[in-house]
Amino acid sequence: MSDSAPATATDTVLVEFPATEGYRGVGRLVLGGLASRFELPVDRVEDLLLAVESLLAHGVDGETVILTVDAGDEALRVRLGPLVDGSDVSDPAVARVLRPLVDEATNVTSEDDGPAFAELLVEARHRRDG
Amino acid sequence: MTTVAADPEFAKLLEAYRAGDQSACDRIVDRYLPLVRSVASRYAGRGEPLEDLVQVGSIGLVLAIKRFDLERGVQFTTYAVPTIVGEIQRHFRDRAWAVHVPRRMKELSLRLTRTVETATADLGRPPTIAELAETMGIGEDEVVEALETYHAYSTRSLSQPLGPGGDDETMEDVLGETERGYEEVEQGVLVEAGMEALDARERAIVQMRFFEGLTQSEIAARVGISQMHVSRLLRRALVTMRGRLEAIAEEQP
Repeated sequence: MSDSAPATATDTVLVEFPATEGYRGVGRLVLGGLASRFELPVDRVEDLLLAVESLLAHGVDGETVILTVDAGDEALRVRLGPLVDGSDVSDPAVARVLRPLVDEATNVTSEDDGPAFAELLVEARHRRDG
Repeated sequence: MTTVAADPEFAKLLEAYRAGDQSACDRIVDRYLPLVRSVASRYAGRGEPLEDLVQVGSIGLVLAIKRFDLERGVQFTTYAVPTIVGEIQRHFRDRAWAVHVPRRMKELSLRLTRTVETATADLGRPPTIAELAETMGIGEDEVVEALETYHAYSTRSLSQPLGPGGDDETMEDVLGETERGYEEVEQGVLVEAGMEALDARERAIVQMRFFEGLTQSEIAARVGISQMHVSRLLRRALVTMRGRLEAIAEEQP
C-alpha cells in the first residue's frame, strides 16, 4: 500500500464478518488500512480503532457484523452494526467514550426501518495535510 | 459471599490486612477462592488447565483485595469479578502471543513502538502510517498488522522503572501525581461505576483522554511513556470498565 494514492471519494469498502473475537481482528485490520490511506496520524488511527473496538465488544448485535468505510475527501466515515436493539451511541455514557475519539458518532437507520447502525466520522482536518 | 454491609467479618479482615496483617489477606483469598474457581471454569476447555486459570484468577483476586475501598459501598464480588476476568483474559492473550505470533511480527511491533517515538520527536507531530512504513522500510499493511500485533501483547508492568538506565521512577509514580483532580470531575453514574474498577494509574489515563480531552500523544508526553503504550492502557481500561458495567447489569433484579 505504500505507493498507493491518498484516499478519494470513491474509496468505499464494505466488509461482513462473523461477530467473534477472531474475526474482529480482521475488521480492525481493514479499518486500519483504510485509515492509513486517509493519511491520519497514527494516534488518530488508534483512537478510531479503539472506538470501533468498543462498539464491537458491547454494542453490536447478531452473528454478522457489517462494517462500511468510506474514505472521502472531507471525512472518513465508518458505519458499523447492526447495533443492539435500543442501543444509542448518543447515550451519555457511550458518548463519553466515543466523543473524544472521533469527531461525530451518530445512530443511523435505513429507510425501511431496519436495524440501527453506528456512524463514526473523522474529519479531514486531522490528515497530515489537513 | 455476602455484601460488605452484611459481612462485618470481611470488613474486619480487610482492615487487619490494611494494618499489615498478611494472614488476613490469605483468609480473604480462602473465602473467595470458590468465586475465582467459578469464574475460571467459564474459561475451561480452551487449552489451559483449570488449575492454572484458578492460579491466574487468584492474582486478580489479590489485586482486587488490595484496591477495594470499603467506603464505596459496593459488593466486593462486583468489584472483584472484572479484575479476576481481566487477569484470566490477559493470561490467554500472553499465551496467544507466545504461541501464535510469528517472530517477525513480534520484532516488527517492537520496532514500530520505537519508530513512532523517534518519528514523533523528529516531525514534531505524530507520524502517519505511510511515514512509518517508509521509515521502517516495510509496507503500510505491515505497519497496520504490527499495530494490531502490539495490542495483542501483554501489558508492561506499571511498576517497571521508566528510565532506560534503571531509573527508579515508575509509571505508577508519575501517574499518581495526576490523579488528585479525579474526585472533582463530574461524570455520569455509570461511567463513575466503571471507573471504580480501574486502578489509580488507569483512571488517570482515562481521565486525561476522556475528561480532559488530551490526545494520546499529549498524554504520552505528559506521562513519559510511548503513545502506543497509552493506547494499550486505554484499551485495557475500557475492557475493565465494560466488565464492571456488565457485572452491575447482571446483579440488577
